[in-house]
Amino acid sequence: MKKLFFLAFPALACLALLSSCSIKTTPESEMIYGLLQGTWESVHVEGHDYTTNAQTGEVTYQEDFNEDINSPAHPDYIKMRLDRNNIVTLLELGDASGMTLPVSYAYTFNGTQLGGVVFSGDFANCMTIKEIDAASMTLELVDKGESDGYTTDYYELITFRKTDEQDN
Amino acid sequence: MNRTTRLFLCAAAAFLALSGTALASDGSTRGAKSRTDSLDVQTVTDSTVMQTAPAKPRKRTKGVWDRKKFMNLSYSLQTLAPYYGNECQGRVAAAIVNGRSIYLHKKPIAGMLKFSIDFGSDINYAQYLPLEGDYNLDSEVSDMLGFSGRHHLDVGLFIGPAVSVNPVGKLVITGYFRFVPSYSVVMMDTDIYHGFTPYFTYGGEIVWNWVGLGIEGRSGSGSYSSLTSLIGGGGTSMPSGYSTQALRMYLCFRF
Repeated sequence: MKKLFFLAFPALACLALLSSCSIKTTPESEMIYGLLQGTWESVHVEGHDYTTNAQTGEVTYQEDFNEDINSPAHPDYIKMRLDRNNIVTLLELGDASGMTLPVSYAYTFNGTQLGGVVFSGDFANCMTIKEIDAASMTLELVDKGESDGYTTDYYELITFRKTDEQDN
Repeated sequence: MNRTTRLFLCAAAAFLALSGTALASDGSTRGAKSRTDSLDVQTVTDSTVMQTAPAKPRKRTKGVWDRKKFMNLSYSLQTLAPYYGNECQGRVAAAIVNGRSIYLHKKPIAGMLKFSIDFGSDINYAQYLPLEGDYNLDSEVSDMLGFSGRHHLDVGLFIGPAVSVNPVGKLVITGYFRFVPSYSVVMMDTDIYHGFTPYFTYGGEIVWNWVGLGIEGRSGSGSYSSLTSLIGGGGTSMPSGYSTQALRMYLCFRF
């Protein structure tokens, strides 16, 4: 019994140490997080939206898009603010769909991707930060999946410009 | 037989007769006395019997090392920090720790030192200060639950070594280190996150007989994913990391 306990000590210590070992943040990811803070508005969107019948393989919907977002009336227009409380506030939307704006949601960041309701698709749970600097940011959404007998292949690359509004 | 001889024999007979009577009377007195004595003996015996009759079994008072079970009621100062972003300051936090010590040896070393393994359960709840700023938070989650804000619940089991010293009387001073793997749930305004978090607690306590005071530090970090996304059929969400730090002060009860 005693031997069992003394053998358990190093085993538990190893388990504890290994479970606690994790690289939390890197200087690069900290810098990216700092650049994320502020108010952004969308200026360009490109990608495709394909829907295929999963059984027959017939393409039922196909759209390729590559356009500038010139006004708040554009359906893909987004103006949002990200802050260090990990809250994203939607200030304006080209297609508000009955939402009362502004409205705030929580977002998550893992160093290279943004997660949460605002940055998710029908199947994807995050958007990847392709490029970011002090003035602009490009987010990528790869949203593929099957639902109700149809296969969806949605790809979007959306570019944001930082506005001069103060951030939290 | 001449007259002198007859007188002598009569005197002797009379003497013998008187002696026998005396003897007989002594015996009968002694007999009474012995009856009395025997009564006394019997009385004494009865009372002795009464005194030596098995008394009601009394509870053996617990020794210093016999109180192996413990329960701690804690008040905590706790913070929750995401890997990226502002830290959440605790408003109120409390914990209940139930456990048992298994001593590794019967006799204390140097008459006062013992090593043990402690194991048990650790339940911790914390509420954090609300968000600062002008937000119109989405209320879907809070409407569903019936309450809002920032809450944190950890339910875990612990195991770890401890060393106890009994320097005097019923005083026991203990130091310990524990590994506490826990299931953790955090509600952050608009979403609920959950995950496995390995905590470590380390501290000491001073106990007199069955009650004492203690202080311990607590830390741990883990990866959390959205519980509402999982329940809502949205699949797994992108995990995010949180670190927890706490200082606990507690009242300890030993059984």
